[in-house]
Amino acid sequence: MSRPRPLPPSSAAPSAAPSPIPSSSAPTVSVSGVTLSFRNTRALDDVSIRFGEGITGLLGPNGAGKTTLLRILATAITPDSGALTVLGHDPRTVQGRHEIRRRLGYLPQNPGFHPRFTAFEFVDYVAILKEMTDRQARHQEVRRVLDTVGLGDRRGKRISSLSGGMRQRVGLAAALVGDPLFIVLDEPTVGLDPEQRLRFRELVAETAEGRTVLLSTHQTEDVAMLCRRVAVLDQGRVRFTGTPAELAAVAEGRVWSSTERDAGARAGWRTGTGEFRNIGDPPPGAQVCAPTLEDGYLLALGDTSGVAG
Amino acid sequence: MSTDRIHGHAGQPHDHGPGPREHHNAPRIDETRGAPAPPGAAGLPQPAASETPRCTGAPAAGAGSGRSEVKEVPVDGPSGVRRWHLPEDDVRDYACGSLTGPRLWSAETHLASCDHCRARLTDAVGPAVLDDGWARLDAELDVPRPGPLEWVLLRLGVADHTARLLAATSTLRRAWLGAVVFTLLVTVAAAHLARGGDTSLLFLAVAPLLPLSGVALSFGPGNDPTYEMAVVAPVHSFRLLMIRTVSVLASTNALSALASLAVPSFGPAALGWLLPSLALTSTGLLLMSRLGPVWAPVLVGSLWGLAVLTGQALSSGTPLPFTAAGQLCAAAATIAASAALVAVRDRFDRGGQPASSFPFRADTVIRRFS
Repeated sequence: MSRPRPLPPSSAAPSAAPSPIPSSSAPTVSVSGVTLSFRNTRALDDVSIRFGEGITGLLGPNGAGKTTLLRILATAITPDSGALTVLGHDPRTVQGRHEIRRRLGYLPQNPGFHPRFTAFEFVDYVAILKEMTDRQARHQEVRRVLDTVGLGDRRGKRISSLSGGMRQRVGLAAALVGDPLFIVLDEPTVGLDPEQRLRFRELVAETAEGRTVLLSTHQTEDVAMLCRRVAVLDQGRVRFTGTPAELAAVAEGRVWSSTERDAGARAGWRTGTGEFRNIGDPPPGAQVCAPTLEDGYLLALGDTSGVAG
Repeated sequence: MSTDRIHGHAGQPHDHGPGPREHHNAPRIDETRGAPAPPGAAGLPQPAASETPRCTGAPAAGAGSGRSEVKEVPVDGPSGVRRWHLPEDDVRDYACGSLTGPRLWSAETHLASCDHCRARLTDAVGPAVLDDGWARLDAELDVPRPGPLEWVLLRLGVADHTARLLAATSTLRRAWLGAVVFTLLVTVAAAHLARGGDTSLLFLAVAPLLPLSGVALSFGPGNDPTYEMAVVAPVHSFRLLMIRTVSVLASTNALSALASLAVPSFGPAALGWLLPSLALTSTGLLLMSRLGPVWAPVLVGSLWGLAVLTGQALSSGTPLPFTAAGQLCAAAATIAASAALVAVRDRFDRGGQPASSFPFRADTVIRRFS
């Protein structure tokens, strides 16, 4: 059975050395042994990861620490310990933070908008925050990014009158303004309908050319369609790093169907055909199925007690 | 006069229908007579002088020399009506951007209503230059319209990007300003209704807390809808904080100053809130770098309340914070806190705690009522 990257047991201590994610270019982001706690909760526990140009997906359930890691890399918060570099700069120093911020595009999980702003005014406001002080050049750049995200004809509309998908695109435009080299997108497809999600994915794929993009999501479809690399985070720890194909291969030979729920399965759920799809260690003679990325993701998480049909 | 001639033919029933992007509100000659419209007023994208490489041939002799007579070409229409079109050299000069004075205004007015001459102009300048002209016009239409405050700031010479940051301060919204006005009215009314003692004490005690609250509300993950984007932006957080502080101090203290005129004991003593307001704000900002935008103002406000109550209990006359000695202390505290604030300014760039760790989201309340 082909298992390119063996799963670490849930209880095993992860390696302190960064796990390089396969990449065609040198890593532009390197995180090593990063730990951060909020009050009594350890949000990140000795996280190590490296990635380069292209889109890297960060998969994980709610509360896995994805947003915390993204906020650290976006210089919004500082970790308690560990080493990290972004585009060759250390975000723990004043100068390093400034250099990273000049090259950063950030779309938070819940981007806040000034309610009275139009799409143009909001992106213009973010451009001002990005130190674009020349009015003419700034407005030209704002028009460019709004055209890029397909809102060229809606730039005069108030954000409060736009749909959820359009607001996400306004947020993406704000992230893209200034032509950043490192783009951080925190669950950008949440709340979008399938068509909006598809269009948003297209946009992200187009804008990723020549840039380092880190995309946090808990939707495996996003990773399958967009990412050439993926990391799975759970309970503040990195559970897997590799390509989406390698993540799906984790479940090779470990997915089977049955007419009854299999008590020995790590997780199982009833499908539309009425059969049960099980993941774990199949019993002898089980009808093994082709694995999907989601199967690999669920196995990478280890504890899948929440998945039961 | 030439314009009369144009007016005479502009109303004729010939083929001067509106083009696909024509501005239907283009000024008519009789509306502009005596006060000719400025260049570009007809809504047509006149090519910029820098686009002259697209022009072929030298400008006609006399172009731009200020001559007022327009040489228009009369044309016999299909119904025998005399129509007029721009002469070739005027079209070429307009395309080059070298047409000036009355000839320019007449040409623009004519172009606004003549498909034929617009087509000739398109041929003269080329579609790329024309599209660029429309793009510039679109760009002007896109420019955000400044609100009243931003407009005033721009008139005062504030840079447009700084004016926008100032005007975007959340506590300059009507809900906050309304709350400030209401609070001041209540304290002034209470001063008038009070019997005996220092009737303006409540006003003097409350007014310094208003800018402190405003600054706290305008900065912080729970209060600023764009906090997350602002904190990772290259603009220095301390600069952003100072911009918002200035806008809050200016607006709130201006309202408090107006309210001072209405308190019963009007005079210099009615301005006893001013220095304490600066001291509380600067001290609050200083502690904000350590305690965050909620607990720092709560602590400073509580200490201020304690100081006023203690001062009133210990003194039969004016409470200590509003005496000359108290005012001196407030001035000293302002200077010391401001100096310390500058020294620790980099702390504001480190980011902060997650928004969910703050006990309330005032921006939600403000947005709901604004």
